[in-house]
Amino acid sequence: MTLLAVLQATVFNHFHLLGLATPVITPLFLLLLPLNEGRTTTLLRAFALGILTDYIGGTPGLNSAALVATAMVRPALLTLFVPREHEDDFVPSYRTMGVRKHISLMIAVVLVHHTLYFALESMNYFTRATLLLSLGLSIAVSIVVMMAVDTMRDRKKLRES
Amino acid sequence: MHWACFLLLEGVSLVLLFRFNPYQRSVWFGKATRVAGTMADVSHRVQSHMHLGEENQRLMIENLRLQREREQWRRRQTQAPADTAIAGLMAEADSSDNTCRLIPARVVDNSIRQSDNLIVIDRGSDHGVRPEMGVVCGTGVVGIVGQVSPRFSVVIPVLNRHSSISCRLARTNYFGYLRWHGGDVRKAVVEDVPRHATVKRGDRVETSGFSNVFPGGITLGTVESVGNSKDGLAYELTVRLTADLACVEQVAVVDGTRRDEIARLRQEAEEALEGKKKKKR
Repeated sequence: MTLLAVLQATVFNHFHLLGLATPVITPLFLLLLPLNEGRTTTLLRAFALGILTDYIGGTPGLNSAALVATAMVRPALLTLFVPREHEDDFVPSYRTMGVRKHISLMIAVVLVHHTLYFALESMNYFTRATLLLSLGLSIAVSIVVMMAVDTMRDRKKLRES
Repeated sequence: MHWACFLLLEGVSLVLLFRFNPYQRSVWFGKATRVAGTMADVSHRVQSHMHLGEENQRLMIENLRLQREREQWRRRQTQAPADTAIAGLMAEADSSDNTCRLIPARVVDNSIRQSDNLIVIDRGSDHGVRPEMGVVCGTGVVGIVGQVSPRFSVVIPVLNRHSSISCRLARTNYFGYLRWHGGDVRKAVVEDVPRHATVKRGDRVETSGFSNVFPGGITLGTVESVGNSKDGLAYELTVRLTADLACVEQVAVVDGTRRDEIARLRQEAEEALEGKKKKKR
């Protein structure tokens, strides 16, 4: 969690692809939580990650607001993509639920998160085409970066075990 | 439980966002200012709407004043070629004519469905209203005061079979009486117009000013069709009334009592003079 916050605040916040797209990888945290994690604890942990990222990055409230809202709708998104029969400590990943379903889940979570994030950041509520373009590109870039981070993490885990 | 937690955390986040980020804060205040501006605009519009009643009353009285002024000018113009000196004197007398006072009033009860309609207004003897005074509105004549209580008066409108208003054709000055026989509330008839009068459709019918009820020159309506009276001795004109009594709200009572006062004073003076003459003899 701390690594994610530091990475986001120090590296990715300053990364502006074509001056438009900025990857925001904090929602990865929500994707890596086990399915049976309590709703209130999920909210609290999302808030903690958001505040940490905001503290380091100097954007009070921005990440925490978007993350808490996304954490709130996470159970609804999970029921859409996670298979009905699963173990209690099910953790969503491409290994447990298949690549296609996992990417769909990722897109859904990132879409919700980024829509809120960019709306709050620009305060323009989608009046300009550039904002939509920036949102779309950021979603794509974020997902690619998140998959990379996820894979690296996965490999590390495999090596350790 | 998790809903309360969500609302709390989200609330904290948003407060932080709008308090400590200069950009979001400025946008927030910009929006707030716009909302406040819109609210102020709406309240201003509502307020000006509330004042429309007063505005209406003011315009109605102004309209009546202008109608009377026009009447005076017209009279002056017709008399000018005949004798300029006398006309000048009369014009002077006219312009200082403040013998009519208008008492603004509001209609509180109105019927138009019956054959003998009555209108109640919210001004009575306390305000100087007395029976037999004329009642007008911005677009024409309403009727004549019938009964008076301290705070209210009953007006016998044009749309009452007992109403009869002395009127004349504005173009040719022929006289008649405006009456109503029931039926269409926008139409009345002018009776007793002599056979030799020339009448055209669209001629304006106005008050004659012969009685003390109405000053001359207040519009009643326009001639719509010309017919014969039952005995065939006079014309009977169908007149379209300019005042729509079905929706009249702001009216004014014409107080001509100052004229009565003038007449009474003159009479007293004449009597006194005669008395002196008798004494001298």
